[in-house]
Amino acid sequence: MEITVPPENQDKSTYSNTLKWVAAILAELIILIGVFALGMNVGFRKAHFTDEWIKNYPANFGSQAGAYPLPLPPPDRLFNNHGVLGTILNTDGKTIIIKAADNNENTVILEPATVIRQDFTDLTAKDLKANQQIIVIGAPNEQGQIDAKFIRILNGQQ
Amino acid sequence: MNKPEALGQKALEKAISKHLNTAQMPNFDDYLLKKIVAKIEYKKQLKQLLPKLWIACAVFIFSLGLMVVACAVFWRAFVQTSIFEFLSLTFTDFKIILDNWQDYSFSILESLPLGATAFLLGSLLASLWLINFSVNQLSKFRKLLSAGHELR
Repeated sequence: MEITVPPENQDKSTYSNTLKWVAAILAELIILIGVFALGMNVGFRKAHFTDEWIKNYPANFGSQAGAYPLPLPPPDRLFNNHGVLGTILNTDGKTIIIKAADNNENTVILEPATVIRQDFTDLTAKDLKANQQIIVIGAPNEQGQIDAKFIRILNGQQ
Repeated sequence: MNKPEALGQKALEKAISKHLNTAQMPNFDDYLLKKIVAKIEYKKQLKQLLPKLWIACAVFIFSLGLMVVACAVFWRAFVQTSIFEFLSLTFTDFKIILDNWQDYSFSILESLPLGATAFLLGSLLASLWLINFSVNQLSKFRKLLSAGHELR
C-alpha cells in the first residue's frame, strides 16, 4: 500500500526547510559582520597607536622635534599596543624603554597599580633592570606610550 | 516480461540465431537478457568511473600535501610572533589576565598571524572537501565492483 503525505504536512516541511536556510544565512551574516567589525577595530587601534608613536617620537625618546621625520610603516608592521614582548633598554622607575620583538622601541609607563612578577614573586619597579626580557600587558595612551597593567619578567639577565 | 524487454528478447534471439544452429542455441529466458543488459551497463559505468577514480587518488594525495604545507607555514608564522608567550600567561597569571581581559584579548588578536591562519583554515576546508570527493568516488567504485562480481 502506497503511503502519501497529506498536503498540509508537505507545506509545513517546506516551510521549516526554508526557515532553516534563512536562519542559517542570517546567522552566518551576523558572524561575518561581527568578525569584520572586530578586525576593523583592531586595525584602527594599531594604526592610531602607530601614528601617535610617530608624532610623539621626539618627546618620548629625547630627540629634537622634527629631527627624525619618520614615515608610516607598512600595514603589516603596525605596532602592537596592548601587549609587548621585548628587552628592557632603559628604566628610571617610572618609565621603561623596551626593544620589542619587531626591533622597534616602545615606551611603557609604570603606574602605582602595575603588577610586576617574576616566577611566582611579586616585585616592584626598582627590580626592573636593563637587558631583562619582559612581557607587558597594558593599554595605549594618546602619547604613543603603553600604560602597563601587568609585567612579567621572563628571565633575570643583567 | 514487459513489452520493451520482450522486443529486446526477440532481437537478441534473432541476432544470435544468425551465428548458431538450432542445436547450439542457448535457452533464452528473462534472466539471460537482463544479465547481458546489466553487464553492458556495468562496463559503461566502469568506463565512466575509472578516470574519476584516478583524479580522486591524485586529489587525495594533493590535499594531504596541502595540509602539511599549510601546517608548516602556520607553525613558522606562529613561532615568529610573540603569541606563544602571551598565551602562556593564561597558565601562569590567570587571575591577573582575567582582571585585564580586554587588554589581554586585544594583545592576542594583535599578535595573531592572520595571513598564515587564513591560509591554514582555507587549506583545511579545501582538503576536507577534496578528501570527501575522493572517498565518495572510492565508495562508488567499490559498490560497482561488488555489483560486477554478482553478474559473474
